[in-house]
Amino acid sequence: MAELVPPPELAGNRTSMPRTTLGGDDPDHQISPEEKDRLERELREKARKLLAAGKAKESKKLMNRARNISRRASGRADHH
Amino acid sequence: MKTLVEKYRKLLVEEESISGLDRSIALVESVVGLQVRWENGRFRGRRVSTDPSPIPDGLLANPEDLAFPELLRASARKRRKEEDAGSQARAVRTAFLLTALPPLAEADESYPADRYSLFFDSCLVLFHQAYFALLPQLHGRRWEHERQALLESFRRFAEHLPHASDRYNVLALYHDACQDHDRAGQFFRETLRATHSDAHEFMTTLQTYWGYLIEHQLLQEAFELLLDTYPRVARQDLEEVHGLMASTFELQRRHYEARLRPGRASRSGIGTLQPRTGET
Repeated sequence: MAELVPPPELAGNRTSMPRTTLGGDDPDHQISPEEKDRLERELREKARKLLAAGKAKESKKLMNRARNISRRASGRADHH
Repeated sequence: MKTLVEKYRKLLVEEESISGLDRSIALVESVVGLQVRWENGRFRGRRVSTDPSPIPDGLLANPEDLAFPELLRASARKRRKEEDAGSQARAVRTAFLLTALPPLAEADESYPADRYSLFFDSCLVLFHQAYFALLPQLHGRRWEHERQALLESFRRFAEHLPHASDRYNVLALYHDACQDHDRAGQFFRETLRATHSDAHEFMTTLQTYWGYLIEHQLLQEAFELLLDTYPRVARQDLEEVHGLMASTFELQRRHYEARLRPGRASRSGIGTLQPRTGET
């Protein structure tokens, strides 16, 4: 089966998603949704292969790195 | 500020390492304009920037009182060989930063929003580097105090994270490191529940929990997780979920084959699974 690459019409189409507010509202500080998606997918793919090879710890490492890249920036508004 | 963000972004994408941990410690300190040194078993803190900081000047006189001195002092009483001194200092400095600073940042309502955001995001990178690069080195009885101090700092840090999903994820990893696998699984599940299906990290959160179940050979639960979550998955990610389902089927097949041939294999063994991502 082919690689896990979304069809062109669907790739990176999360333009409605809020961009990260990392570093405040300065657009220079933002990571685009497309870049986040690309990095995340690569790491998930590698992590899945590591898990399949029995390397669960290495896999977890990549998954948490992917999470840090893609998560929303911290903000007071959502505080519990 | 821009330089700090660039450092943060660089750390986000690089591999876990002791060098990365050192730079994460320096980043967190820079964001709050503080420099913490650990010498002769005591912390020394001084302000190094006039930028806004959540740390009152008066508290810098006895910075270790901000953390949990009992564990740190227990560590300090142990003399280390030269080659171990670096790991000891990294462990206690990380434990100090993750314990002492988040409550102050949380309580200081005048702390600027962009600083607040960068501070907690940088702390999450520090946690990541400490968890994956340093914690595995602190094994055995001689590292007991440092390991406990680090783990305790992770737990306390989680309590102050603004987003529930981040909080649960840190707690899941904390319990996993403590070998409390039931609690770890519960918190991975809560992380997924607290993550909106439109969020960028949704698929990563789903795969993290799925991977945890696979690691512990809870194959039926892993498959049910995918079925239950399927309606929440965005169309563009469905193929990836199909790949996870195919992997789960493959594991189940190997598991039952192994049970039918006990003389040839004792367990299903994820170590022999070949990834067949993308299969439906």
